[in-house]
Amino acid sequence: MDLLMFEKHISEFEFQHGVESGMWGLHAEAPAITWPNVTIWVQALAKYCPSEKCYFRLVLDDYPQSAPNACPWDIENNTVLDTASWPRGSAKLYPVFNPGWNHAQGLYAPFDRLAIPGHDGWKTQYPEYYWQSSFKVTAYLNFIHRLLNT
Amino acid sequence: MKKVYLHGENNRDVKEIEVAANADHNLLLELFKREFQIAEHAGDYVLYLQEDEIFPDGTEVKVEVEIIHRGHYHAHRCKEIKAEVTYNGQTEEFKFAPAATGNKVLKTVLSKFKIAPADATDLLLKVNDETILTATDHIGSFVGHHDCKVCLLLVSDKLIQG
Repeated sequence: MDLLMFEKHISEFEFQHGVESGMWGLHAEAPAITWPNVTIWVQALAKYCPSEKCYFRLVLDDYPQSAPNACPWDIENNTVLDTASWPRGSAKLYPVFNPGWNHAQGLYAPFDRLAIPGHDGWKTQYPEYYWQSSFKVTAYLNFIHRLLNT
Repeated sequence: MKKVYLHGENNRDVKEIEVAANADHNLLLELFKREFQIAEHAGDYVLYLQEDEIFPDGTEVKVEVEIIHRGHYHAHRCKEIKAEVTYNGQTEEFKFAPAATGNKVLKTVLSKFKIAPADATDLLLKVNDETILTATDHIGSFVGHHDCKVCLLLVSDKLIQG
């Protein structure tokens, strides 16, 4: 069910528009979906990711009831991106891309399943970002895309 | 067959449908009513092309070439949407077609507030606390036909804090 919902959502206009616009896409050079893991790139300013694409591994079991977990990903070695290479350089980016948080296993954001526990206040502080089961993966991708282009 | 996208009044869903190559205005309106479950006597809907043109009666549906720019239609009972946009305590009024995209709305708003696009990378339009008007949303998707009006906030993207 969770994979079917994910496949449905990425076939819809909102995700496909992002693909057509060069904002994001499934990683093409390896099986992008090894459920529940999905590798996605997000277009970024070169100062954050020199190739202008930052890769993320999303963990999506129980999607969309449960929030995704997204982590910067090293596609060469198929592992979490070395923390020295995490995007950095802006005050807005740093709290979200904080490799010192939670052993660099996710983004510190109200969209991320690893960050949500213990942050009940985010529900009222960031209602537009706090994951709800009505959200689609594009909500998280739009958030990341904005951060990486600011 | 042609692939088209239907946007609707006060409804954020975008319906992707395939229509016959010779589909016309009336068929598209029928499909819109079916897809959005519009009641029989709900009033007169006008079909718009994306951004601002009314899609004329008797016209054949455009062949979709690029999914971003073509093949997007919007049916709405409002002829125009009045938008009140507040930025830094200042409120300005705008009028948009129901099929105006978030992208167009944002550009228009930035121009009115004299904000250069280069200085606006951090700014976004919010319909309410929980909803961001994205580049591809149609403004009519957030507006009912009773008042044909929406209030928007132009704000900086929030800094995430623990």
